[in-house]
Amino acid sequence: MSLTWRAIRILIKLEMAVGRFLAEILASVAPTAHAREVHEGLGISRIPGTLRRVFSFVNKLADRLVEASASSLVLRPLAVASGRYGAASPVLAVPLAYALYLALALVSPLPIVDPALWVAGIALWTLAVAAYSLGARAAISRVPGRAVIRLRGEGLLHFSLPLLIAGGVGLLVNYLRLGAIPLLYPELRRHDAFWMISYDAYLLGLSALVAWLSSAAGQKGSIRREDALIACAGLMGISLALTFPSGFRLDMVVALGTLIVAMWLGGLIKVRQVLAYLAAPGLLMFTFQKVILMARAGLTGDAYYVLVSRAGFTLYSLTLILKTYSPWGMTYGILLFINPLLTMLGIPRPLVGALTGEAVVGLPVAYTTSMVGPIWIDFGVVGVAVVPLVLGAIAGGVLKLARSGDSAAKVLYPILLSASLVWIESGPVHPYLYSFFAPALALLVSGALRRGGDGNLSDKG
Amino acid sequence: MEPDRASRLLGVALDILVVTATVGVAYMKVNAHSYYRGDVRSGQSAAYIANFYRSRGYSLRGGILGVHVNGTLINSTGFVLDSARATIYFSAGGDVFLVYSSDQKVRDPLPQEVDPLKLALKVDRNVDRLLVSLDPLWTDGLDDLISRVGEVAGAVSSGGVGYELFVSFKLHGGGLSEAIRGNEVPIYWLQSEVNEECSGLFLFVGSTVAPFYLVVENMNWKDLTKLDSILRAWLPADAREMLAYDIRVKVVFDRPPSPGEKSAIYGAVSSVEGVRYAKFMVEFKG
Repeated sequence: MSLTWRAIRILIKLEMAVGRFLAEILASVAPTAHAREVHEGLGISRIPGTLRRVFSFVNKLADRLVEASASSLVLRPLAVASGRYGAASPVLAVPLAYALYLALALVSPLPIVDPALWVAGIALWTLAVAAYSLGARAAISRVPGRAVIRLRGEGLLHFSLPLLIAGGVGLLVNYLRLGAIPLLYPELRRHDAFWMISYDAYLLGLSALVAWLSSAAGQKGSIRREDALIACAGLMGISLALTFPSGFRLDMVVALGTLIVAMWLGGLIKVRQVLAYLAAPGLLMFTFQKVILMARAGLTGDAYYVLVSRAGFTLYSLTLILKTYSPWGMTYGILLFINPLLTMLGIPRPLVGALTGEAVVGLPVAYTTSMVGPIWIDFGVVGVAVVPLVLGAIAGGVLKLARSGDSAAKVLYPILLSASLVWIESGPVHPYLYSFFAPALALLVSGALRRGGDGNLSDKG
Repeated sequence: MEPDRASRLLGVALDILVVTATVGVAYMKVNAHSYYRGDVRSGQSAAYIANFYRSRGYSLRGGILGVHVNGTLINSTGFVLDSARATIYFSAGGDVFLVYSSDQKVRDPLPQEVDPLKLALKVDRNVDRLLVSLDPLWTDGLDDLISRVGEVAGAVSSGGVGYELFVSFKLHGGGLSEAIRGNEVPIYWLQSEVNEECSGLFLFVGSTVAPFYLVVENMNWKDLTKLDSILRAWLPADAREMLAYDIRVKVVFDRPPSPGEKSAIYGAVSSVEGVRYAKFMVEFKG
C-alpha cells in the first residue's frame, strides 16, 4: 500500500472520528436530531391524509405512464434500457437530458448562420453524448460488481457530518465575505478557491448523508422511509438556500442533482417521481434565478426567452468555435486539465472563457459552447469522442460499484452524474467538479487490481 | 405479462404525444425567425433583445404598428438602426422612430416616440455597416456639414451598393448659447418642430460645461436640409455659426458589399477631406 493511500486513509479516519463525535453531540444535545425522532422534531407526526392521497394518485399515474411506455412504439426502447440500466444511469440520463436541451436549442429563434457548421455542431454534440453513453454502458457490463470500500453501520453518517457542516458554513461565510447576495448584485458573482473547497465538501457531505439515510431507511428498526424522505426534503431546502443566492445556476443544479440522484441510488425515489414532483418547480427555479439576475442587472427578459435562448446560443456559439479553431486541437489537455495546476504554480495559462468568448463575440468573456466546444479547442475532433467516452466509462463503472454496495461509489456517483448533466451545456470546464473523477478512477483501478485478491476495505464502526 | 387494453391505449397516446412534440419542435424551428413579437407593454424587453442580438453581430428587420406621439397610426416595415438600454431606433419608410418602454418611470421628451401596439423583430442578415467619423467643422447654418456629408454619400455611392445614410452630431456656438439664454429662441418649441418634421432625434441640452448645445441622433441625411431651413427660420443670424462636432455618419447597406466593393467604398470615403476614420463594422462591433 502506497504512502499516499495510507495518508488518505488516516485523514479519512480522522475525519470520521470527528463525524462520530459530532453525531454523538447531535444525539445528546438535540434528541430530535436522532433519526427515529426526526418526524417528531419537525412537528410532523404523519403526512396529512389529503396530501398522502395526492401523492398516492400522482405515484399511481406515474407508474401507469411508465407501464404504458412499454406499449409505446417510440418509448419502448427507452423503457427497456431504463429497466436494464436504470433511468438515472449515465447510459440514459445524459442522452435524455441532451435530447431535451437540443430541442430547446432548436426551438430557440437564433438564426442558423452557417448551415454546414450548424449540422456539424449538432452531429459532434450527438457524437460526444453517444460516446459518453457508450462508455458508461461498456463499463457497466465489464466492471466487476464487487465493492472496494464498504462502510458499515453509521460510517457514512460519520463521514458526511463534518463535510456537510464545514461545506455549508463555508458557503455561508462566502456570502459574508462578499458582503452581499450575488443574485441581487450580479457583479459580485464569483467562484474562488474558498468557495470551490466549501462547495466540494458540501457535495460530498450531502451525497454521503443521503446514502446513509437511504441505507438506514431500508434496515429494520432504523429510520422509517417516510422520515428519510422528510429529512431529504429538509436537505433540499438547505441546499437551495445555500446555492440559489449564488447567482450561478450550476451551483443549484449540481447540488440538487446530487441529492436527487443519491436518493434514486438509495431507492428512496424513482425517476418517474422526480419528474412528476420536481420537474416543474426545478424548471421554474432554473429559469427564474436567471430572470432575477437579469432584472438586477437592469435588463428585462421573459422567462421563455431566458429558457430557450441559452440553449440556442450554446449551439450558435458551438458553430463559431468549430469555425474558429482547428479540428486537430490546440492545447492538448492544458486548457481543461492542467489549468488548475498552472494556476496554483502561478504560470500563465490559456483560459477556456477567453478562448470561447473571443470566438463567439470577440471579447474574452466566457460563453457556454456545449460539451463539444472546450474539448474541440483542447483536443480537436478526436477528443470530442474520447474524452466523453472516458468520462462516461468512469461514471458507469462507479455506478456498477455503487450497486454492489461500495460506499465510496455511492457517494461519488451522484456527483459524477450531476456534473455530467451540467457538462452537456458547458463541457468539462469546472476543475472543482471534474476533480471528483480522479478518486472515481482510482476506485475503479483499485477494484480492478483487487479482483484477484481477498477483498474489501472495511470499516467495522 | 401482457399489457392490458388501457395500457396499450396510453401507449398509443404517448406515441402521439412524442410525435406531436417532435413535429412541434421542427415547426418552431422552421418558423423561428422572430426575435420579438407581440404587444409591447414593455419596449424595454424589445430593446434588451435587440441589444442582445445586435451585440452578437445580427441585424434586425421587422415591422412596427403603433401610434405616433402626434396621434397618427404608424404601420411600417424597416430595420433596427440603433438600440440602447430601453430604446430602439427603428428606421421605417425614411423615418426613424423611437420605440421604448411605455412603463418607464422617467420618460424623456422623445417626440418621435411611437407607443407600439405590435412590434416584430427578426434577423435579416449578418450585415456590414460603414461608420464614418468626421473632424469637427465650423458651419454656417448647416451648409458646410451638409456639403461634407454629401461628399461622404457620393463616395459611398461609388461602390455601387444601395444604402441609407444616417447622421449624428452635436452643435455648439457662442451665439447659439447667448440666443437661447436670452430667450431669443423658443428652444422647446423648436425641438418639437424639428422632431415632427425630421427623422431621428433632435434634442436641446443644457450643461455647465457647454452651456447650451443641440444634439442630432440618427437623422436620415436627406432631412438635413429640412433641419437647416427650420434652424435658419428660428435662429438669429449671429447664432448660426456653430461648431459641429462628434460627427458620425452611419451607412446601412441594402446588401452586404463584396470585398471588392468594400475596398472601393473604403478608398473613396477615406479620400474625402475631413474624414477622421472609416470602418466597416457589424452592429455593435467596432
